[in-house]
Amino acid sequence: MFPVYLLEDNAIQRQKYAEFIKNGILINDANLELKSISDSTESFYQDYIPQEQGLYFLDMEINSDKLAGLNIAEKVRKDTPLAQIVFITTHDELSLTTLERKIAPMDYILKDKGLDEIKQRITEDIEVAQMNLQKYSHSSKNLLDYKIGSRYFSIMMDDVIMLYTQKDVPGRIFIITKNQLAEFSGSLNTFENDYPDLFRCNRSYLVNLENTTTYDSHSRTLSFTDGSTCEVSFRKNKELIKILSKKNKSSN
Amino acid sequence: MVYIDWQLSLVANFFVLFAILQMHRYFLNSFNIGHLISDIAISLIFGYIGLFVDDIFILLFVGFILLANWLLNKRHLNMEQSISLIMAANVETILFSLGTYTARIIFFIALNEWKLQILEEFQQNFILVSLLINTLYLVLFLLFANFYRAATVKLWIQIEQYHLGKRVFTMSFGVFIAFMVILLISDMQSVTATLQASILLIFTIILIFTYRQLIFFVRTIAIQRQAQAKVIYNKQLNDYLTSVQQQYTDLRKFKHDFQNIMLSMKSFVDTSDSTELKQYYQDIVQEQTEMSTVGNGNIAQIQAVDSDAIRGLIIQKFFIAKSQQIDFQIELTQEKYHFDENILIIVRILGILLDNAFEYVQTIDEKRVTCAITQDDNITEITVDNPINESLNFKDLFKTGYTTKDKHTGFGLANARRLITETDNLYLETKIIHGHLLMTLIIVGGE
Repeated sequence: MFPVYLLEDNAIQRQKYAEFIKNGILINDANLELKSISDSTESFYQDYIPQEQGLYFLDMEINSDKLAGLNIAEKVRKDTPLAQIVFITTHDELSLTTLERKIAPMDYILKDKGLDEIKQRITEDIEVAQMNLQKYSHSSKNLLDYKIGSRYFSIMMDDVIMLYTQKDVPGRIFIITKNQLAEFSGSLNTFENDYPDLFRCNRSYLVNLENTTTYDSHSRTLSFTDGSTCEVSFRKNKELIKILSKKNKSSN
Repeated sequence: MVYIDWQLSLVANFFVLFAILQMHRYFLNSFNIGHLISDIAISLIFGYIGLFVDDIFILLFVGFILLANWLLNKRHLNMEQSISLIMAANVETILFSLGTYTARIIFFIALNEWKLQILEEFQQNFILVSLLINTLYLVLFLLFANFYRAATVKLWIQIEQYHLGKRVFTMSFGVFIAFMVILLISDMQSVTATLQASILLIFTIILIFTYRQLIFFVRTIAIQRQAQAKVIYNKQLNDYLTSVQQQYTDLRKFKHDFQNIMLSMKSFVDTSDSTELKQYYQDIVQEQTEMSTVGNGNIAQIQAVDSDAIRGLIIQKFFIAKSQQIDFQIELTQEKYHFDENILIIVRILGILLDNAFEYVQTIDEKRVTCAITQDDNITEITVDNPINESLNFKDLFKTGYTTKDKHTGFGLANARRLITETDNLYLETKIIHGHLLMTLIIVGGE
């Protein structure tokens, strides 16, 4: 059972949302439980257990502290990178871009839209959260971590497509995922050792074979789900064919 | 001293005064027949007076014209005319003296006899030659002045703009008086020509330096005044931004409370029997969406950024966005943002990212661009966010010439990429999420 947290300072709304959440869990037959209902930061932290996977419904402004919800979300994200966070808030309290950078929440629910819409969104979010949480609990190494300055960034391993280096920018690693391109300082060798699931197809490319589409062994060109391609070195050709055929067998 | 026939003296005096007036006309670009006749008349009159009062007639002449100017202008000196006249008098007096000395030297060398008497013997030729040489110098000077005419006009505009006319007038008038005093005293004391010549020469050099200094002084003042104007402008902008911020905060607070009240009322309305009440509630909820356009006051938050260059860029882009009907939002949630390294590079990259976003939203319906800055201990992130309704090839995005539009050249992002590559502590992240393109410049600062 994964816990669900609710933080809302308005009594009537709090009661409504709690009702919607309980309904949502029932409808989706989700492995979730509404564990904590709080009206202030203090009471939230009384119930809060760090590093526990879960689903969090947070209001942004709590008792006229405009950033209360954001601060809690930052702490939760830091303790548990894969926690499912949803904000329920009024339009103007949102700094969407900032939130996206700091928290990357699963969803934002706008209060302006009315109670019916809120009810529907809560039910949908419970369904998605249930799926995500189930998925994370199966595999162990499901995040790729890197560091820029003092800040850590995490990317879902499923989303990673490739890491590569460029001759004109020595010491920089570029990473392409399903929806982003990022860069950081480091060496591919370290990542090859730390993440054995990734395949080193030539000196400057480390790729995720889970996100490949086709491999042309004559031209030694490996294609990926996002349309990008990568050349495989002569030395690695055989090894790759072996891995790919093994993969095909196991999936068949 | 050399004693010269009075008719020749009159010609020389007339020539000097007429030359002064013509140079004055040249400075002001005001030649015409009426001026020419009056110039000849007044030069003749004062040239005649000059026969009795030695070199001081030039001072009397200038004094008379200034006085006439002052009286005609209802007891107010026209600075441009006065300064032009004094400059002309200064220059002509020097050129005349130089002409006379050059003529002397030529005569001495030609006759190989260094005596003043020969000048008296040949006075007719001597005066003629010295006036000719004077004319030659004058032409040379005018050619020189013509070359610097544009610069001089610019300088004059600055003098007028910053009301420095009086100072410049006092300065050049003082120089002129000093000049006259030297001539007068050397005449009265019968100072030898050699001594007078060297005094005048030194004086001329000092004069040139004084004018150079004057130009420098005017430019300094101009720069100083411009800086003052900018400070005042910035202060006014800050005051304006603060008042906008206050109004925005009040409005936001009200809206927030209002929305919460409406939402809480919903359950009571639902349980009520009154259809009228339900209808009324619906109407208000409908109107509420109108209120969501309240905003745009948030540009005032930019004051939290302590770098003039970055703040300036964002304010400038804010006004550009406004003129292009783009909704440009600033998200600054912290009290203070500090920038100290690589500011120029950051400004260039941010400029490129914003221009790019502005250009893109012009092609779609939702014209909204957001710029958010977050800063922790030693890491700063500047994110430019715009809606996007297509997928991108991330790997090609930063190649020169890559573009999603037909007309766009696509050099901007390639340049941004190059700037980041050249700088050790800058990183760029490009992400598409919830239908938005987020480009984030990450700056690792300090230590």
